[in-house]
Amino acid sequence: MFIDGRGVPQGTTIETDIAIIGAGAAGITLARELRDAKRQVTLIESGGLESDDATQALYEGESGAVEYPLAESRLRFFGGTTNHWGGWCRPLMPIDFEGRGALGIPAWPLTRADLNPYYRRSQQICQLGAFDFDDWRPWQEKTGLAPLPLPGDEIATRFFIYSPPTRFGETYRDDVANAASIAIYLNSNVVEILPDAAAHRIERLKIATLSGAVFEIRPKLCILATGGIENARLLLASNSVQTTGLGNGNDLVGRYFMEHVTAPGQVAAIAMADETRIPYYYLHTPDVDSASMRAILMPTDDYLRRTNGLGISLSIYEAHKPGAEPKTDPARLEPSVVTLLRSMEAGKTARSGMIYGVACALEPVPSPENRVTLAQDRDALGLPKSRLTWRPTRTERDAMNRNLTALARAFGAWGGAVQVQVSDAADWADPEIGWGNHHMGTTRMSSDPKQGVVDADGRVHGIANLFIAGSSVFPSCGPVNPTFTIVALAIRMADHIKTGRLG
Amino acid sequence: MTLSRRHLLTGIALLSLWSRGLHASEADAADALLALLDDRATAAGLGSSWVQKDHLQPDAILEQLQVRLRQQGWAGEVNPDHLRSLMGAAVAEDFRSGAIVTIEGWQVARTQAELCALAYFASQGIL
Repeated sequence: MFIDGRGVPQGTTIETDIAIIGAGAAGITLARELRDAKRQVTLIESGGLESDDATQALYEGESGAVEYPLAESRLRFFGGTTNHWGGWCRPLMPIDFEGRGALGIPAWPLTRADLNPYYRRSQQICQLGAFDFDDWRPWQEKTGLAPLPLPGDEIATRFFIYSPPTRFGETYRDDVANAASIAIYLNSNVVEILPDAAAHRIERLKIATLSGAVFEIRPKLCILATGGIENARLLLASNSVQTTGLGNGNDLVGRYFMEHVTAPGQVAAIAMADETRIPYYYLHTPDVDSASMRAILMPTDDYLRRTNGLGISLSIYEAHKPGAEPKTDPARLEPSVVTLLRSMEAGKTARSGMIYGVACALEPVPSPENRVTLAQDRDALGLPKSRLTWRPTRTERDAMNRNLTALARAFGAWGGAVQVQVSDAADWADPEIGWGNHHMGTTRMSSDPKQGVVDADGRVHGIANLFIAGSSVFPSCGPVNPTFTIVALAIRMADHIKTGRLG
Repeated sequence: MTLSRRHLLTGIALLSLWSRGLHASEADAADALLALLDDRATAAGLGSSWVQKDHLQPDAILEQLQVRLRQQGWAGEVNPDHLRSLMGAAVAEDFRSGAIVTIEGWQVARTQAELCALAYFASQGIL
């Protein structure tokens, strides 16, 4: 049932078993999974069923380093940011859960094996079909195309599977709206989460609407699922009792913000003498049975362990014929390189060469200096705006270059050539920096309250009935898009609620 | 101090340079290698910037190239298919061992770069 918060009488108090704040990928998944749990669920969404400017403006904030599009990178209406999601899905790799101490990357208090059953269910929810991600044989069987036989053990073919993309607010609207146990409050903004005097339990959620209505929800259990920036903002702004912010006794809330580092345009070029040697599914996104897939290249886990490297996903696309536009300086030698490669090939064909572009997403190092804080300015509801301070470091730059050099080794040994196009300067200039609109790490998960905001169950350390869902709990994030893992973790949390494990 | 094989070969190459001009067998080898190139002029273009940047000498380059091929089992044959296959193996070995040369960002095997350098020297009439 949908309820417009703007019509709720002033001062109303609503009792509920479970309050879920935020109706995005995590919030809707949780509500949907709990729809038959015989507990009253209240899903609270800031926006309506469609986007509107005034609500979207509540996302505006400040940038403390790289000028970051805080309002444009997220959507604030039913379905959340899945309303403009690209649909790229891949699970994190085992190494992503292990941590790499030399880089300051903490281990998760979970393993990939722990998440595997939830990844399988996430695959259904994200409408990906039944294929395995990391087993290339079914893909080869279905397409007749073998993965690239790149020599060495540094770079391997992996697969993304694309969601249609699932617009959670549309696809699962009926499932949650028609469930007798679920009430969905639209146009309802949680402006403060209020705990008891000891800040050990959440008692009330203060709700405000842009029309001026104010009411309260009193949950037995509360799940914050508003995204990687907003989760931290709301905890920090909920400071009536715990003055540094709710759950922020160890000054961790908002810190360790992570974003995948990309670069505007391509980071490398690959020259091949034969345009047919890179299979179609590396360059395009074909439908295979019920799945839409794309092959990418990633460093192997062993290589990353050996070198203390950062993960990267490398996608390839056809750029142009050698010697064709653009006639820029870096491209000057392209025809010569292709001719050289052709000279090296036995059994020459009449096929033409090709220059491919390489785009990337790089795993970031979680840094306490990259963080969400509260700005001085306030939004239309009186809540302090968020201020995001984020800048990739030399570590990421070096890791990107090392990974591209590994790509060059692999392609070179196979008969291609790679031109690395990332500078090795010490600092990133702003125009060199790209990002994936992935907001992660600001309430990270750790068994140790001094290292993380939530425990392995997503429970805020020290607050018995407050849980956090979404990518803000990621202690590290690998190089792949977060939504698939967000959904898996949400399913896991719902299961734990249903079994009574979370109270 | 031990004298490595590389030092020894470089010394031989330098002696060869000092003697001015290639022996007939070396000239044959150079010709056979250059014959692998589809387009000597473009290869020479690639080789020129590397040669000039690292102040490379023709005899040393030819000698190093021959050493790499010998390491792949070359015994001086000039059969192009066989030579090309050995070049491929040498290139793969370069990438495995990190013998990589960067030319305007392009990461090529040292063997490939040496072949291009050879083409450059030939284009200059130095060989």
